[in-house]
Amino acid sequence: MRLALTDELGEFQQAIRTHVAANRPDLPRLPGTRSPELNDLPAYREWCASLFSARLLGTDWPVEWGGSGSEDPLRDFVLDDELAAARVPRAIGAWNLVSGALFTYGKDEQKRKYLPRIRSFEDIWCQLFSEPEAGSDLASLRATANRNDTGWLVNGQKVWTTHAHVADLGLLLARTDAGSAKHGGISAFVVDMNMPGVTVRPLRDITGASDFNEVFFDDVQLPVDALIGEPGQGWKIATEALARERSQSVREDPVVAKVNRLVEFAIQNMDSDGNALIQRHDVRQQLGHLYARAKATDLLGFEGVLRVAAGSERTYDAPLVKLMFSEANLDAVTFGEQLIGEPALYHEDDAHAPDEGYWQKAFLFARGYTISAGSNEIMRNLVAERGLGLPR
Amino acid sequence: MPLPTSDHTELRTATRDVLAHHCTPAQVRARAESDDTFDADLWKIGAELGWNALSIPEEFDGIGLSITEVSIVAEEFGRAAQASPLPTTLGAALILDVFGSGYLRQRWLPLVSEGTAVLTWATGRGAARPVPPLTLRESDSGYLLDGFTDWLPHGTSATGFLVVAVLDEREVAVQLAATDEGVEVLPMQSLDFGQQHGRLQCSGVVVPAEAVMGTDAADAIFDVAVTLQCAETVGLASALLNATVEYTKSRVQFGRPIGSFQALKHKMSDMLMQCETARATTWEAASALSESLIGASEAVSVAKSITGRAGSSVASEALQLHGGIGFTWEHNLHLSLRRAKVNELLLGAPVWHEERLASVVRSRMAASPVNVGV
Repeated sequence: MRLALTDELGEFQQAIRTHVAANRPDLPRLPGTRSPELNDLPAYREWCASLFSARLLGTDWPVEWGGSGSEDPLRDFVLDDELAAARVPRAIGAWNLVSGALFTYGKDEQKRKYLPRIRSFEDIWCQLFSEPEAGSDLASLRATANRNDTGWLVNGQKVWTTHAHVADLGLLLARTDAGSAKHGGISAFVVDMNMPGVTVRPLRDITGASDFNEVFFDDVQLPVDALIGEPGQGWKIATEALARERSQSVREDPVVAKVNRLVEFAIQNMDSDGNALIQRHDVRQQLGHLYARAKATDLLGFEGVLRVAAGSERTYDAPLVKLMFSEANLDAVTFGEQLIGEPALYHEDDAHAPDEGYWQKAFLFARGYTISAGSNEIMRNLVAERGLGLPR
Repeated sequence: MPLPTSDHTELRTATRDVLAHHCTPAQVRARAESDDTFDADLWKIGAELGWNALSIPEEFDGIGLSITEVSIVAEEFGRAAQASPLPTTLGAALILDVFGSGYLRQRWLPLVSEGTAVLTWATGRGAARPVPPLTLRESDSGYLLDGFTDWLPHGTSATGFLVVAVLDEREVAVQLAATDEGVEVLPMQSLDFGQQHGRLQCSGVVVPAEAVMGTDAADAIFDVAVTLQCAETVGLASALLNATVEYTKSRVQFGRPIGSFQALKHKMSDMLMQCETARATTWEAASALSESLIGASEAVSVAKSITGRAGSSVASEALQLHGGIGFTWEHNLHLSLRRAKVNELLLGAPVWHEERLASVVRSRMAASPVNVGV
């Protein structure tokens, strides 16, 4: 398919391939937003840093902060596709949300302090937004940050914090003004995850992995300069970060690559009558439809990026892309399990497990996407309200 | 696929304004229920505005635009629920321009540009059941064409036909005139009574060699036809969604607009997703064809898979959300529902295109096994 690359993007694509060929890390590409294993962390940081220093990642940053000055928003798109196709890891964490927040709201000292460490991947970031009582209704969050002589005293609890167990820093939303209207009393902070009073407790998800966490704050003393922007700007910072997260989701785990993998499986395997799966009409039709939906997802994501660059983005673009991606993904892995049949049930460590248990993990993980970054029910509300003007 | 330019927006707005004037719901209804679904007055107005010259090269006094612009026009006609042979005429003209001999170009392009030629096509592909193709065989005077084919859009109003036929086991394209001896067009009645399709019958039609084009042209006819069909569906689905949103905002039950109920909001959100993916994939197909009429098949089948399904799904949900009123004969909704269904099943149903996509992906994998994994 076209997704036509300009000459410049074609060169960029080639640069990625060259870099991957020369620097391929001895690390698995994990599905979705899975965290690297603890003992893989050093190699993982090195790999991510190499993407930045080769100017393949963060190219849209201002030149003085390490960017290549390229205005082309499609570079990230091309990079994610290439990394997925090459089966090498992408750079996880909230760094993209944080860098955006710092560029728009951060002070120079904050940019000087944190941006280089994002590029060197000395700091892995997590996003401290959701709470047990504030999921879909994030604005009702209860964590507090009270001003004292030293800075800000934080108390509260966060949940569903991906990568908190490997993160060095966190982007925190806390209430600084209990008296103010719900959204207006929220502020954003940088939190050192190793500070006294910060407790990270892993949550185990249905895949068996523990990449989500609860994070407890017991009288955590943040310095004054931990505040990003002004008090009360937290909600604005959060909504921009969430929009970025939603448009990113489609690129974390490209569905086209999954469908291609299923086509491979269908070519190499037979049904119980001895017919190659790819010869069967029902299989071909299902794969073709999934492929079309995956391409449509990529197109919407691609268009969304073009619109942001042109300044014509629509407020419902990000929720729409997130909906499209997560549901195409869910249907792809659901069909994948059915296509593979009972061999898909072997435990991933079993010698018989097809594709080393990839499909089983992907199937279990799929509902993570339809819930995280704002549930699809909330996304539908946003699309209806913002896109169609339907009443709240 | 670049975003639409300001020129595209201008063309869209201008087309929409004219159609809003001349194709009000009442007018569309009257035309659909009349014996002649071809709106000669609108055709004349369009010709005077230069619509018929959109895709004609400048050498024949045309504006020299591409499939992208024709798709915009097709979409707007879809939005107005007005059936018209203008998109097929412009699409066929473009194919004649690219693949046709000097003879074909000289004979047809000026007639299209000035508004006297009405062109339609028969792609010979996408049928759900086996259908014998038109056959071309060599003769002393060139070739002879025999056979019949159904579903020519506006077949009974057309003055020219761009058809796919089989010659020695390969597909070729042939341009015919309604006045050619041995050509007969019979009216067809279909689910979409607002649009007259035609059945073309060819009995020993003499075809000069200059009127025959190769397999590339045959492929292009199909790809262009599917894309313009999708563009029409994009327009009609969008109009149905807008009508549904307006209806649910104004219809009050239980003391509130029914559009404020979450279940309905979610249905309409899904309808918007259908409309958006149809729009994006169709635009991509049109963009691909604007760059080259050859090699766009994957983009075209992606568009038809998504859009064919989207049109019918949106129409069906639109009816549901209108409740009882949507089920009446008098409400225009079913006119669009019928067209969406026809567009879903003609020129290859979504499942047909999905099989084609599976073949495309499989071939690409065989050609280069590296770089396709996750």
